[in-house]
Amino acid sequence: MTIPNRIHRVLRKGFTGAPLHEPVFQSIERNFVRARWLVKLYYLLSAYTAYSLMSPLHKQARDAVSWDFLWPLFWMPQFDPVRAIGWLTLACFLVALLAFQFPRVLLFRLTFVATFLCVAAVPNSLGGINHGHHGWFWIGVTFLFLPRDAGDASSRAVKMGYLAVLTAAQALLLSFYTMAGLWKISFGILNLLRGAEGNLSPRGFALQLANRVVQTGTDPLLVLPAIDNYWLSWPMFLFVIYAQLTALFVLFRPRLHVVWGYILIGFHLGTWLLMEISFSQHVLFLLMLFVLSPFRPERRSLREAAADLPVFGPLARFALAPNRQVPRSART
Amino acid sequence: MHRDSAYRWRRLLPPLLVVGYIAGLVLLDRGTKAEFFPFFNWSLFPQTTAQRSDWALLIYSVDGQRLDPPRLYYDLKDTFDAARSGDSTLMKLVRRLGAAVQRGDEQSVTDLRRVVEDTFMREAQTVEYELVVVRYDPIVRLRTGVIEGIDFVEPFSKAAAP
Repeated sequence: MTIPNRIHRVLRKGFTGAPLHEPVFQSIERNFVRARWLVKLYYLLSAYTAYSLMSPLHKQARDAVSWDFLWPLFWMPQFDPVRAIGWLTLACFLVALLAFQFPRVLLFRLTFVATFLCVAAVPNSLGGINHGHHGWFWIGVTFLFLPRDAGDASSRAVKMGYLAVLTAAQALLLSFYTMAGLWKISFGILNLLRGAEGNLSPRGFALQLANRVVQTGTDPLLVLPAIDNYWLSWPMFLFVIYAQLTALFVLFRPRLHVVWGYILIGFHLGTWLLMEISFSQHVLFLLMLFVLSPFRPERRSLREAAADLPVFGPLARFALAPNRQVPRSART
Repeated sequence: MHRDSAYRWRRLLPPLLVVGYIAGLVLLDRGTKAEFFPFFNWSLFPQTTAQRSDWALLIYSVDGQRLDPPRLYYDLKDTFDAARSGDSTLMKLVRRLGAAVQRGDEQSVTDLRRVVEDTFMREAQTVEYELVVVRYDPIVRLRTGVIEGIDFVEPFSKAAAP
């Protein structure tokens, strides 16, 4: 096999779930139906998000006297911010509804992304940027590449193109977690080499939590027990680093999509309980694109999922079924 | 059939999007520690250490009432809304203010101070305060309130609106 053919084969199999054998075609039909519902669901939840932002952004606009407008809002100083932000969130809500009702119309998807970019820029235009809405915005950007489908009558190429776009959204979101894990492990190793306490030291997580509390004076529900019992909380932190670092790998293991969805939701639950940092939009897209992943297998098996675990998969495969062959993963 | 154009280029979208995003991060990095929204490198709480130093605002007086001893902004929960809610936006804003002071960027200092004073100190007419760096062990500070040291960087004051 020539090198270009080999690369082509890897890309088809690895990234898009493209079929290598005829029987896989059936799963394309199933996954396509799921994917279309997920796209509808994304715009439905977008409409909800835009509506739920109306009140807090109105309050923020009323309270803020001076702003540090981000570039998507360069035009805002020409208007009264309270009224302009009110119209902006209303427009975002309405186009999200339109995109929900007519997800095949590129214009509505594009207008939603443009208005959502501006809406997401509003709470970040006070000098500091929070990151709760970044992922949601980038899903919208990815969905701009959806092919115009014809429902069940769509050609196989359109269905596969549709699934490739869903895979792209998953890849981008998982890469965010992998980046977060890379930073944590890099600094952890650096501190180990320096002989200083850091992410990989037993007290590392406790230091991180305590620092967050003293920085902003918050009082998270479980922070004190987690600091006092750092020998228990530290392994959880190491597991979080593992789950984040290997997240992108999970893209290629559909049997892990549901499991990783829940693991990462658990991580965001932890950021609230231990740090009072809320990532509600992340919980939504993890439920949508991973717990309800269009590529999730019909039959669920924890044993098979364990066999796919990044790094520990071969060990789990041996420990759970030393005499039985656990099928290797394949995108279905 | 699957070689049709609807699929042909989209199969490359996952790697292209990830690589494109990272390229965007690198190309749009302006070297000022300021993010280029909506790109972000997801460096969230990457570093932890027992010897922390962090930018903060030390408040000397509010509406003419001197605070003895001076208090950090986030300790004044009865005075400022953002302190009461533990709003981390101000913490990030103060870091940017500190970076702007360090590089001598007068325009940014003026712009960021305006947001600090008009928006995050809107509850008071006049405030005397200073941009400081606090040094501490997080667990010791949490348990005892003890701060190892404070480096004083630049005093500011919010004057009453004319």
